[in-house]
Amino acid sequence: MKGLTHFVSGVAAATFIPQVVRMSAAGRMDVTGAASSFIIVLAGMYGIMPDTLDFKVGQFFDKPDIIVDPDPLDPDPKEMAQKFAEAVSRSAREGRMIKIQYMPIQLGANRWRQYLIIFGEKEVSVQINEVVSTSQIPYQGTAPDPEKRSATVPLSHRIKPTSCDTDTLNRLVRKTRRFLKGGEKEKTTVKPSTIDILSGTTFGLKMESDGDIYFDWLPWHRTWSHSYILGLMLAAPWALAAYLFKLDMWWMYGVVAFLGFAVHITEDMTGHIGGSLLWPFLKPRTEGFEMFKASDPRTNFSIIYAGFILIVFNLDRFTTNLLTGGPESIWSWWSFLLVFLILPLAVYFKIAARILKRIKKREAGLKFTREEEEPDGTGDPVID
Amino acid sequence: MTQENINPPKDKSGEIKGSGSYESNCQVCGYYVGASSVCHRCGAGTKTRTSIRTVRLVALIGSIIGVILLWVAAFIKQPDFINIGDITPTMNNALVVIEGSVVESIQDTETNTFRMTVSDNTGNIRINAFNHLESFRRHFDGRLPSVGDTVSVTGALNITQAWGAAMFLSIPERVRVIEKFEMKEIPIGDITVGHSGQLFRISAEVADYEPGQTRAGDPMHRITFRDNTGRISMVLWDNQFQALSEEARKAISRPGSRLKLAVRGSAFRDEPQIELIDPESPDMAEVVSISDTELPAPSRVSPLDRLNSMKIGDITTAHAGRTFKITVTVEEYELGQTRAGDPMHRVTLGDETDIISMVIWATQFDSLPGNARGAFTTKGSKLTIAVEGGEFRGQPQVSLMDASDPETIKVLSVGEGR
Amino acid sequence: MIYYYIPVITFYVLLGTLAGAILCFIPALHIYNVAGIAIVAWLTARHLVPYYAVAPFFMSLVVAFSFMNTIPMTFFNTVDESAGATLLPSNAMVMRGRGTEAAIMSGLGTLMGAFLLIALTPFFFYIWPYLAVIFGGHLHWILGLVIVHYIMSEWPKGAGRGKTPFKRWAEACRNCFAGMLTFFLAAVFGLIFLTKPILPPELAFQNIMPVFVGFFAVPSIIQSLLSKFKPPQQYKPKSINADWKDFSYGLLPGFVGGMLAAYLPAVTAGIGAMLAGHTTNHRNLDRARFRAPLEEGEIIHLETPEMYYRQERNFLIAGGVGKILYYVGAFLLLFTITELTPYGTGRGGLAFILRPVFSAEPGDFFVMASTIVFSGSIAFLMLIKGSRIAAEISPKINITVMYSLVLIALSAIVYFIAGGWIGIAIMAATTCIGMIPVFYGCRRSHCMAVLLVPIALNMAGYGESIARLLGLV
Repeated sequence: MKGLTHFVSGVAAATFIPQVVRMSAAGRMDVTGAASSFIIVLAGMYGIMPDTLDFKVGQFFDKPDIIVDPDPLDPDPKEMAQKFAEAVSRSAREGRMIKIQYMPIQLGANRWRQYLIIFGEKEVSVQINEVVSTSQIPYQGTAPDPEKRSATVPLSHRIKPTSCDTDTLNRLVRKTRRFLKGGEKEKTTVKPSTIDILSGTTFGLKMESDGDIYFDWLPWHRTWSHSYILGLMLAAPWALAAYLFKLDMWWMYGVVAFLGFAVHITEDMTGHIGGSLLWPFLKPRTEGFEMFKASDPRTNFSIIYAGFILIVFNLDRFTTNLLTGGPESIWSWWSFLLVFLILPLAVYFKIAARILKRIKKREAGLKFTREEEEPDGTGDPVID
Repeated sequence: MTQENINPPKDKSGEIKGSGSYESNCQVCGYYVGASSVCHRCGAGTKTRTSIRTVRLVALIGSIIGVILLWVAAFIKQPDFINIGDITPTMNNALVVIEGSVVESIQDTETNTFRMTVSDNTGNIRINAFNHLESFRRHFDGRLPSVGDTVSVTGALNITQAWGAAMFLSIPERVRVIEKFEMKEIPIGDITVGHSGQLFRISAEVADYEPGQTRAGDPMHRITFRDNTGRISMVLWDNQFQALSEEARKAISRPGSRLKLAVRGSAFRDEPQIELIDPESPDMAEVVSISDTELPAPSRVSPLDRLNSMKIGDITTAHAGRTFKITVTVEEYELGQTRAGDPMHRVTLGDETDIISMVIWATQFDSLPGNARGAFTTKGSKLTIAVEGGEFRGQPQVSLMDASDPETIKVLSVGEGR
Repeated sequence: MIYYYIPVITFYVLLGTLAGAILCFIPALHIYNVAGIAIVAWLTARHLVPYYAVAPFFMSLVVAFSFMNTIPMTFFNTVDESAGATLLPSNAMVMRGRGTEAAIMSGLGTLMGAFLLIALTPFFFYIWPYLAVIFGGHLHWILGLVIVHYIMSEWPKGAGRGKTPFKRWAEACRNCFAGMLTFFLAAVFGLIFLTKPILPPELAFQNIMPVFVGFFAVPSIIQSLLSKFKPPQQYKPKSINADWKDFSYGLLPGFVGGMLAAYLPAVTAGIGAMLAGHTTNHRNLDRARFRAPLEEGEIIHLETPEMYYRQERNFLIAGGVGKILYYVGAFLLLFTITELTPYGTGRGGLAFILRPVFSAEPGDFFVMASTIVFSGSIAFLMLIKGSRIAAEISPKINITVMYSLVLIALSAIVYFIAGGWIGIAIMAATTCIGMIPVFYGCRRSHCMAVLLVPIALNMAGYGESIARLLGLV
């Protein structure tokens, strides 16, 4: 999910603790325990922390075995595809995960050369596309000449998107997911990857017990950083600092920080990639429940909106008592949530469904082969 | 970053007319390097863009030096001294120094706020230390600046059109007592009419205590003090009496008790009198001993219950100086200005018999309860108010009897708007 | 009586509209600076403007400014902080010769925002006061959240090249480091500057002017001078390339960003737009998909969804909506006088600047609403004409001379009405900080830490501790 979604969720979760809301109220308010505390900020900060660790630190310290940095003036698709084939062969030969990173081609402040990596069962293709803007809009007529446009290279082994060498936790998640979804189609092909703006993409390739190569997309993402244990370790210093500064309810600072972190990891489990929940005790990444796509704007928007309404609801019931619970309030808690949370979201989903229907209608005549991989956590590219 | 420095890609690069002039690409590999001095992809230097490198260096060093110099300037600079009368609207938020004598000092424990009013020869200003009473008490070791002290205060001005100028304080060190007013002790027999307006101390015994009522019906307290040299009387209004410590209240109401009081001389019908100053401050009314003789404390009757009711049509100029209550609707409200530029609130009140105008000065408006402020400024509001009759250019008018007493105003309903 | 007021107010509304339109030609000035200049002008001639016309005059000035500053922003590349989000798309359109379209599209967004403000009247009176009171006692940590999210959500722009992991990290995150440095320096600057201002007291209401000119206006000009920015020949369009769907998509982010900026102190439209963009972006509703090859040499064809193309238009439109909600909405909120909010809910810098000269009264809201519609409509017509003239003359103007003149004009303004040489020195120091984002590619809004951090800390009651820490008691 987007960074802001995790951020708002963490804050909303913290506001369910009455003491946290009261100690955060300004000292001038007529609220017992009001201390102008910034404690809630910890929930937001730790709500976005796991992705910050990944995208700002982890990915750069996770050294790839092969780096493909195409020539901006004359990118060679064949050479780029061959590098991938080499990574597959090395993985089979060395029996360990080989990481290959594809770099972006930036041509200007707002111009990037886009390229695609398309995976077949036993082949890989690279296709050089147009120059695109930071909004990923192609500049027409900038595609390379047909002979330099694409190349396909055979692979020594079959690549697959799902691992077969799984641990107990992963098997449990898979079973639960199948139970919840009533069965699921087996994934056989790896989705194509588009590389254009900002940082590039890394693929992990590992030979598994069935003789095929497991294709791990962004192998550095949602591993150690998405662990409840790490969350506890990172939250503890706040409790300790609060204790040393002799703050009231010092332990609450650790609780709130951990809550933000835990909400993030739990939310991510609703997606596809999952996380290494018990790192360092259990290092492999546990798959998600595949309920939503991390980049789905409907999920993100509805969680942010719900978070906002719940924050208002909690701040009011624990401090001002204007909306619900006060002697003169006109709403009961359920009528407030019905009118301001459930009904607006129902209207929103209705509108989103109409827009999607229109999109599908427009695309009815076009044949689409597959969707692309899409990273999450950082939000959409924002021009600023 | 000129056109000549760019080595554009050989293929169709999407170059847009005009856009190339502000792009920067590596001359060796063609990768975008922006304002960097080294290409991140191939490591080639971009020597021709010295100007960018210089500007970038200037920005980095300049910003750090700038912040340091600002701190030095702020550290050295002493805030400007100004006269209270010279404050203008453009000084809002200015950190300034004023000097003057304290004419009022209030310690509001409930809101943890210390307030004082300081006067110089040019005007008065209210100084507020919201939510900081405790830190001020700690800094001054409980002896906060009190009436008569000459102080120098450094604070931020807060000027609003509605409330005029005030000063906000949060740092106790920014208040300096230049001269602590030392009150001399005077024997009662030496006090004359000539001491009017002067501050001094007396050490005396309560000779007589008589609870009474003002003309408006408010409780008041008449006390006679005596020492070996003579007797003198003092009147305490109920709000002053209530502001005293419990011990001081007890002592004052029991003849035979002994106190040391800080007072201001005054006169009534050519006879010297005394007034208690700053009753909230424990230094101002020090109890020496409390007598066992107990007298009943006066009971308070709400002014609105006590006063006669009048219709507006019946009010004439003959009612000037008399107090009564009226039940009225706000017909019109206008925010105006006095000739001195201070805000004033002009309200037209009406009932079924007639309309009458009332002026509420900014200081009065400031001390009104919140709902009364809202009601007076909203057309259609209904209120019952204790007022005093008056006259303006031959026409009767009314003024609020006591804006600071919430029991003199009862808001019946707030109107819909102007 | 009312028959007397209407023509007088109308006259001052027209005067305000004209003043706003003229002031916008001092490019890159922030709205706070504009209001400051207007107040100085008004104070010198206050006897000429009746008290009841003061609020409509300032309102029309701000309305006209929010429309007309689109012109210098679009054609001359001089943006204030609030327009940062729309910089790339409008710049791209100018470079394609479609500057007039960009200006009108943004202006239409602003007009839509003006009508939205009126349509929101029931919201302002029946829902907003509750939100204002509920959040009123929590603003310090809400600003803390804005600060934390703002810093943490700046993602690395570099690809991470380098021989060692540390070098990879340093190369990729240089924009983040620069952002943090800018934020830190601006915050320290703000803490010193607001704890112990060094400008003469009679200029205190306007003491932030040299700071803002330095942070935003001068770096914009220097950037344009160094890049030798020159707009190409502009088309004269008869229509704009946007349909009503674009406007409806732009409304929500504009509303969210604008209201955040209007209510939260020190949160400007730039920061509001960033938060709103993250909240409301629905680009992925229509995802990029692959089709059978369409061109020679293709293996598969990447279909760029229509939503992607709308994105830039939506940025421009939402920027226009957000801008007026911020500039005008912050002012209008002063007039939402209800039982819960007897002093209105205006909290922005504009409310602060105007507080000494007038106070809102119940019922003024509707005078202000009609002023917005009247002044907004006139300003929009002026924008259409103005953008055509600007499109005509911008390729012919010697940009270097123009920017140099603007730089001199800004320095003169700072010298004469914002503190003389001390003002100039402050402007120079903040210019240096404001240049860091320009040269390291981080967010320019980091400079807003100059207000964000001191205000958040003061609201939480740490003003005294900060003064002690800085040794400025």
